[in-house]
Amino acid sequence: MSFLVRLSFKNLFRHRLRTVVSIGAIAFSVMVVVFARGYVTGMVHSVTADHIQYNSGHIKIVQEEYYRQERLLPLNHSVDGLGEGGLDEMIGKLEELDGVNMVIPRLKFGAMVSTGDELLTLGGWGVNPELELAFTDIEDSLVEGRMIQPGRLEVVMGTKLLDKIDRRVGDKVTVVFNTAFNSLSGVTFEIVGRLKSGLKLLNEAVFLLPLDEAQRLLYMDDQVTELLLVTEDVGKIEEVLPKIKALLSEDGRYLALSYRETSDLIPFMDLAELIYNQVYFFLVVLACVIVVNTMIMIVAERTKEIGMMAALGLERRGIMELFLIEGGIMGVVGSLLGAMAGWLITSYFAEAGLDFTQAMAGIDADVPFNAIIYPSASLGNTVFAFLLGVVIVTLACLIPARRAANLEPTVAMRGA
Amino acid sequence: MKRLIGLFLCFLFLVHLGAAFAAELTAEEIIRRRDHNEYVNTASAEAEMIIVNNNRKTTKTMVSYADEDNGLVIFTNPRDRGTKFLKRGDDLWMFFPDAEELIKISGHMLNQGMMGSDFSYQDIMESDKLTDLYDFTLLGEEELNGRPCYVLEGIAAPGKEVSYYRRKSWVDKEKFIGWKEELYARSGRLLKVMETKRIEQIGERWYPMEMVMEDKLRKNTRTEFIIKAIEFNPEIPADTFTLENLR
Repeated sequence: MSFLVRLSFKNLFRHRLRTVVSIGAIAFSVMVVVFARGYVTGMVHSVTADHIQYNSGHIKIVQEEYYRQERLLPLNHSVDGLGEGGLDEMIGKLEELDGVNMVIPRLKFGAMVSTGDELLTLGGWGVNPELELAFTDIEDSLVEGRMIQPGRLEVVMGTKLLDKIDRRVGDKVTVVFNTAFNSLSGVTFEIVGRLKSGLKLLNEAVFLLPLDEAQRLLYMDDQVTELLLVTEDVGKIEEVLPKIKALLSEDGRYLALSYRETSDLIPFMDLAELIYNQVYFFLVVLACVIVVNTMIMIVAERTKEIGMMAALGLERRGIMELFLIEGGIMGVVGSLLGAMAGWLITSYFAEAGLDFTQAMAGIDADVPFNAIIYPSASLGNTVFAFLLGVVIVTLACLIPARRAANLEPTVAMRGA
Repeated sequence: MKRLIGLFLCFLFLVHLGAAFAAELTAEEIIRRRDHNEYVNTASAEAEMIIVNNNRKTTKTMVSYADEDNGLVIFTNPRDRGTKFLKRGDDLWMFFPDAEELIKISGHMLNQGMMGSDFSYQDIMESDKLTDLYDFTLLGEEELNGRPCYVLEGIAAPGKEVSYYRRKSWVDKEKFIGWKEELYARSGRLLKVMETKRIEQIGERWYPMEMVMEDKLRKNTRTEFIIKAIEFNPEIPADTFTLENLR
């Protein structure tokens, strides 16, 4: 066996350029697989994380009627407690449930900001700053100023929104909104922080203000529009959900929805991941065409040599192994180089990100799709692509190897 | 002789009938008379707006001042106290007690329900005479709520910007007050229906004191507008309709 390995290795150097081209083709396809897989995984993680953080939590509690009209941000179908108990009591009961780590209240409402002659429509989010900082990655997006503080008439706005209304951190802004009693009201806030995010939602569509102030201004004391629940682990949502539904059933007005139920995008992402896994396979198979072609050329060139070896007693199996090892070495070297290059590129973009802000300018801000995609550089992904390369290339080499093994020694020696 | 007398009587009858036809009002004249009643040069009023949305009822009270081109509304109910709307020509400005700047209402916002009501900001902005905005034709006559009415159709006059392309009006034949109005989009879709529930004679004019507006694009809503007191041609201070006064 070691003789065959040595021979195969030596044979690879007989036509160096051809070997380099074959290894290069494998390396390139494996590199693309590592990067594409990291890219898709990063995108799926990003969509899921953004949806959980800024839309649904792990489980979202809303009034059934509110859920139907969610796009209109109605204020008359709020979460205001279970039965006669207030909101705080409801949050307390939810927090006591096994598996629930956090309960995050949000009060979302429609608002407008004057830009001189025009009124710009946007969304206001009354939030508990401490809980938001603990649950979301909003701190990373806060590039200037600070987070809002309870009890103060202050807001945090996105960079693009501030550009649109021509304001800066430290300026004041007057926001107009409808209260829960359908009165149009206007309040002046101080802008204390600026967000910069790939999420259009944060960058230009919403502003954050303290929950207590939002409740006071909208005449919605002890009410929010939604509660987001964070469980110990995403995998435990299905265990926790029935307990929450049982608790909510005593009231009858509320829905408890897992993050998958509230996203239109995540099922598509899952489907895309499935499709891409097949695409990776074909990508490597494409590179194999070059390797198989090289091997067929090698077999054709070495017909006499194969005949000689067979005449000297090398069995068919040995001949087949010789060519399989030769292909396998190319597969291993090419896949290794490709996996390493792919990992390096993916790691670079995992830090730097790929910015599609311009391309995604037309996408609705309600779609929680981050315009900056950070591919996920993982060892598992790199090893997967390496093994995929090795296995597929070696299997593909079976075709020329069998061809070589099936040659009749006498015919082969004549060079037929 | 009797025959001659008969012919003479027939002649008199025909002359009288012709005179009656000649006195029949044109659509323009009917609307002009309606404008004479309902169009306000200068007025101040106290009013109440009851907004019914499904089972929820919200009441807002206000005082208002108006002259030919301008209008000022000051809300007086506890939740909106101090909120003011100022119409200056074609512009609408708002003042809120908690806001440090005045807000100009523009664009699509003008078509939204004013303070959640079935009246849009545009509805209160249109202060021109109907005869200046629409070309009316007389469709016929009908009895509405026990009152004989002219039924007219108004189509937006060329070059005029109006909220409703077509309006169908039921105008009282004697008091020249609009009892009912159907407001349509250019597409033919019914947008709003306004009905007058009570009118009052103030001086020599009849004036609608209670109206109900229903926005047909919203479900189960209506807004009652009740004028509690109104004074025509009062003395209004010169600076009433200035932005400085709005603050």
